[in-house]
Amino acid sequence: MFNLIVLLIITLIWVLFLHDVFVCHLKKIEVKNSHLSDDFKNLAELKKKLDLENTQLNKTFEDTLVLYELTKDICKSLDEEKVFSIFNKNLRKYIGIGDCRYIKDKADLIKYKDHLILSLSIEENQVVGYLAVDRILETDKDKFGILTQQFLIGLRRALLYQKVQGLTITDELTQVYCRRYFLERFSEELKRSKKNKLSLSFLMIDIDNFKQFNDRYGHLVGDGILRQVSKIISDIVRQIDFIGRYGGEELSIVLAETDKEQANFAAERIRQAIEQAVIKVYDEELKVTVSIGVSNFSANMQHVSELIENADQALYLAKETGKNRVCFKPA
Amino acid sequence: MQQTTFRKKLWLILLLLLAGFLIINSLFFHQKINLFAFFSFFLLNLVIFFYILKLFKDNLSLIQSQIERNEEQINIINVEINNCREYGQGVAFKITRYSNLKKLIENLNRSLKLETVINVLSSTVYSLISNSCGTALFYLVDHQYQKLNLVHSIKEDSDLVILSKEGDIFDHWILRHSNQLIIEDLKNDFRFDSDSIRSKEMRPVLSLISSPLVSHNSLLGLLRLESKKSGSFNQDDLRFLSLVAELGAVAVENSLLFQKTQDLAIHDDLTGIFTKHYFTARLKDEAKRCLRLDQQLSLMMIDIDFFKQYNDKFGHTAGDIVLKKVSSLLKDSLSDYNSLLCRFGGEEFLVMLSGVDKQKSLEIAENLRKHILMENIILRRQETHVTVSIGVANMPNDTKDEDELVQKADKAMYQAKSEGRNRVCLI
Repeated sequence: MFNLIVLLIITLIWVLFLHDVFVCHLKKIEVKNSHLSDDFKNLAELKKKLDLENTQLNKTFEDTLVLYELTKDICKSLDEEKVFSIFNKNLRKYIGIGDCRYIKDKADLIKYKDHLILSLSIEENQVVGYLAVDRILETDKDKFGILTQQFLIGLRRALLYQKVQGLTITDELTQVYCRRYFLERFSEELKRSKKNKLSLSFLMIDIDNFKQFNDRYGHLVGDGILRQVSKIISDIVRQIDFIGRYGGEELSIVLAETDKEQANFAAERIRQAIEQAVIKVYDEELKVTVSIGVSNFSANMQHVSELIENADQALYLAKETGKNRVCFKPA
Repeated sequence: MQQTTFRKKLWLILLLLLAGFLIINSLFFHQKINLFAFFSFFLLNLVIFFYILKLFKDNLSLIQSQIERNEEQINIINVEINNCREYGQGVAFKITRYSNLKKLIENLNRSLKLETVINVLSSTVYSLISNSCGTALFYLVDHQYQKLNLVHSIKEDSDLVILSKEGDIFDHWILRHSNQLIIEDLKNDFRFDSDSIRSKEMRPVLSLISSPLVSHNSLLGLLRLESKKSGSFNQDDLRFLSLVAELGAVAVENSLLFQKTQDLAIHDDLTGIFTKHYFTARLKDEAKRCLRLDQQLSLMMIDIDFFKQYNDKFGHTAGDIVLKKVSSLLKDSLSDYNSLLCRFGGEEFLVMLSGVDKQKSLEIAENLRKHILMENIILRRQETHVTVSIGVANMPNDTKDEDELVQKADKAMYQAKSEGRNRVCLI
């Protein structure tokens, strides 16, 4: 009986002993585990911090990058006022700014006494205008600097382009008259025709599917096509007719002393000449066609713009009815 | 921990004591233990042992799986942190790279010289993208001859000769596609046959990036970086290059426009001869020189007779043709003399003859008049003629002031007009 009690006590102690051994072991492992999870937590925090830093870095990067990518947008226009308005719009979008004005006349500067004045120069030491800026955040100064440079590069382009346009009479690419000179000459010719009671015709020529050519072969080939087509037309018309580059891929011709029938004949001749020609540009040999809209000067049409409008409508009709054809404005 | 070890030891000592007591008790006091009871005691202990072991194992595996998971997560997060660090460094690198762009625009805006602009662009990308290794090339498009022209190159290896001045197949690829090009490794690029390229004995190129300079749908040039090693460039580099090219396109266009304005200020666009502006500047210098060297200087003012009527009759295009014709005649006939020819006004031409005395200039003027009179200008299969009136003035005989000299020549020309045109008059 005594032995039995001893045995039971032994069992009890055995249980406690085992329990202690295992619990001790478990505790050891658990401590290790908790260390690991602490480490993990620390690392996770570190990562969060790094992530935050990265997003901030990225944001500053993207913020400045976006300013550099504005070149195309700001330089889109060749008109200085438009260049400024795009610049101003972007200024408001990306920078906290009170007021920004583009001032051409030095005398106007007095009105903006409390503004920050920046002078803009195109050629060395030749100031063409001023920027008057009001209330600009100190933190945005850098961004403002970048944007101003972008504006300046666009402004230079617009002003230089205008200067060239004012001086030049031939389009560099096609060697035909540029738009400004062409229109000047057109109205002179119209006046002369009215005075001398002569007929006059106006052709508007557009290269068919020009955009597809551009996309498929690249701009350089597109330019080449335009040049070749202009050359073919220049060779075929009379000396007294004159050609102008009206828009991107549009050429226009004034046929002096030419009535409706003759104009149709001339236009048809141009269309056929281009249809038959093989246009060699770089290493490509291409076939292109043109659509031609014709308008004719008559007593009830007094203005250049009317003639252009009519030819434009006729050209639209030619494009609608299948291209590669000559059309008159529908009666 | 210490406590549990101590407790563990205590339990173990108690256990051994009791076991010893049991053995002594049964051996020395012959207290027989029931075999069955002993057996069941043994079994019970065994069961308890296994039960606790099982419990422990469950717990253990649970914790161990947790540990494993934690370790795994720590590994993952370590990799992620490294990635983050690398990314951060990348962004920081990009920021420093892009911060150079501000300087670039400022530099571009400071100059209108084409050469400087090209130089700035090429050296910027060469130092920032290529780390001043390999080669940077800048091409401009020549629209007249439909080809590329290599205008600037920066080379690491100064012995390297770039034979293809008009661009190679990569450049032509860009011309065709009007798109930027990146070749990370030429051997793996299916667009280009590397064997055939190598057989053409080109300079060794394994990777390159290249971007076109496009402004308003017109291609101005190409900016290209290349390397003998593969994988020298990545998409970020290409992006940066194309950004520089975008800026560069406007800057190059600006310089081209500026060149054009300067050229137009010197040459009249219609006739190709000098403008009044340029002529007056030259006249001033020339007059000073002639006075100093005691030389003669003659001036001829030439005006086409009845030009207005001609214009009205045949149209302005015809007028332009006449102006071109007369100016080319003047240019040809005056090429033997030390002369300068300009378009002074609408149908007025002004000729400066330096080192020519009054008598000689009169002769020249008379010859010119006859020459123009004889020339047939064919307009619409109709022969037309123009005549000119010429006024001649001389320095220092008539005046010593160059402005007055022009006025005198003008006066002489009006005299010729009033005397019936088609003649030469002296002041």
